[in-house]
Amino acid sequence: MPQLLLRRLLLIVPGFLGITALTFFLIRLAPGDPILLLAGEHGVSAERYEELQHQFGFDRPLFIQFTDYLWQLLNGNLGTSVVTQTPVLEEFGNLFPATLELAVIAMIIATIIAIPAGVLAAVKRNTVIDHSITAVSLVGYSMPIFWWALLLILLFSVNLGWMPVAGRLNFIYDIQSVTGFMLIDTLLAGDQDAFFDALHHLVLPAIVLATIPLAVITRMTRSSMLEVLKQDYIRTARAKGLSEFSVIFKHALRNALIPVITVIGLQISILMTGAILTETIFSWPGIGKWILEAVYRRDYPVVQGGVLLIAGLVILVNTAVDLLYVVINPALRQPK
Amino acid sequence: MIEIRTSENLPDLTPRQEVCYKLRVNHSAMVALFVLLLLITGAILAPLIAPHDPYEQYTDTLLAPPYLAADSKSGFLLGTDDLGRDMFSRLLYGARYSLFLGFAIVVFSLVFGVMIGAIAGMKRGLTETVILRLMDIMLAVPAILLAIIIVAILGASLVNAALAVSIVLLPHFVRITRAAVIAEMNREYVLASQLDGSRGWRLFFQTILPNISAPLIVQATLSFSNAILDIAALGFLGLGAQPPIPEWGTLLSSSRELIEVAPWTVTLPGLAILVTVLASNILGDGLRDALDPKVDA
Repeated sequence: MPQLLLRRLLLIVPGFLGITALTFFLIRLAPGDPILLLAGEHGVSAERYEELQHQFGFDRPLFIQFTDYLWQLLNGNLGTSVVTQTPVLEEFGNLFPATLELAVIAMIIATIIAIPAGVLAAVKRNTVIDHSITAVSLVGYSMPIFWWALLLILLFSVNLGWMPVAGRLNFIYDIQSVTGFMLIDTLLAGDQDAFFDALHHLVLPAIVLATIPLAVITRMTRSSMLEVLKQDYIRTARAKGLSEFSVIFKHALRNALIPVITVIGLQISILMTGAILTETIFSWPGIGKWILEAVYRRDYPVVQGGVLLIAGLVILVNTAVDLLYVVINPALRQPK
Repeated sequence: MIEIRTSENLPDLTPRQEVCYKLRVNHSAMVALFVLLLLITGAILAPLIAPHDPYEQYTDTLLAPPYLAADSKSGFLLGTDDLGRDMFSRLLYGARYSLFLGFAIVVFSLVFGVMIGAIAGMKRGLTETVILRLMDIMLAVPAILLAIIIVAILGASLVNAALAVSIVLLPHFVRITRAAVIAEMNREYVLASQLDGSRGWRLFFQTILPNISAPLIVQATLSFSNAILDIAALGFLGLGAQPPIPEWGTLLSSSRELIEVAPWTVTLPGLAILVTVLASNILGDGLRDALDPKVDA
């Protein structure tokens, strides 16, 4: 077990190095001179150009620039935004809670609905209930979520006027940021109206972001339950005269959840992809919108640092899921 | 309840006939196949079917609602957009972009993915490790994000977006091919072929590839739906096809502001994307069930 842990953790290092190299060299491939881009329409004199090149280190060999960048990374310096002049790490830190809050609520919605739906579909296999759940999850799985977001806005914001169209909080509330999580900050401020307003803003983007994970987890729960329900120990449990409830939830679901938990963990990549689209449509001030805007503005330090941070996050969560899989699956724990 | 017979009760069918049989009795897969064929036919015959030129602006019929609505204009089945262009014709021409690009993307990633995967699976050693680590890295960056970066570097255009999506889909084919090749390399028929003097690409294409095609076909079908979704998403973000090209994602993004006054300009392109993606996902599921000998639904 400790050996496995160590091996898995060691694999993270080449992963991070690879991502760093990939983003570093990809960005260097981009057309356009970074200094001329910085100077904008005013242009820059030849001497000043040389000076800036030297200042940014662009006059040195690419490989030296790369090792320099790595050294900076190790010191926790991911560069500075060309547009706002703020360190990339600081910007990320300010915006990440908004994305995390949205992602956590989305995953809660997805899991709460998906697991019972998947169990129900498996237990009622080949009935109308099963077919409906399977069909709905297939539609959810195929949904272009940017369109789904527009449909929800059309219905709930434009036609019914129930939900706000954009943002995290109505501007009439002035909430001091403590944790960066709006739901917690409004509660800390003791402002009940603001809390419900924040919740209101969260509903539509969270539903949109939850759609694909919801479909994936439902499908996984259903097939995992079907697999488990075929096992001998389920027949034994039934033969013992246990109630159907106890057979399904105590004996079957517990075993069926092992692959489901893995799938839930692996949704992180889907959530990050979804965050870019969802945050853009709902003007949600998170890292998805941030990185897309950096791409539009050609703010390369932000793109490079942001991709590195997001990919690093994905690698860390995937590793954690791998390890969790060993912890919750007793069959893998036995010494070989 | 549909009873699908397993291979045991179908003794006199060849494997290919068996797959076709299993697919034929799967009603939803057949419906999906029909829908896809209909879409493909519509896309190919667009110049013949489309009632109007997709770029022509009928300035006296701006934002006409679709047929059956109270104040719809005759001649515009699905209404017009803010420049008076016929929505039906635009969607039909848009199908050409989405379907053709989806197909081209899958072919590109399939060909290169299979070749890289074959090299990894047959060479093993350092080559394999390097290829696998590289694929892991590509998979660690969320698909759309990687595509966005590639497009940002190459410049926003339909071709660059397609190239970006092909690169993003590549690792799946590489991993599937590698795993399948390794499994097959130990089989006796491969050994027999090797003793016969077959080596390298010849061994791969003639002997191994026909035996590992099942998972690749399934992955190709599912990648087709991913490709269409990703191309549309990039178009929606302004990084794919540029207006006035009627690619479905681009159509959606340019009609975003019209959502209140002309909701059909938003609902129809999205519906087209959903139907296409749904059909190819259902077909992909059906193919997987038909090709996988373990599944007896």
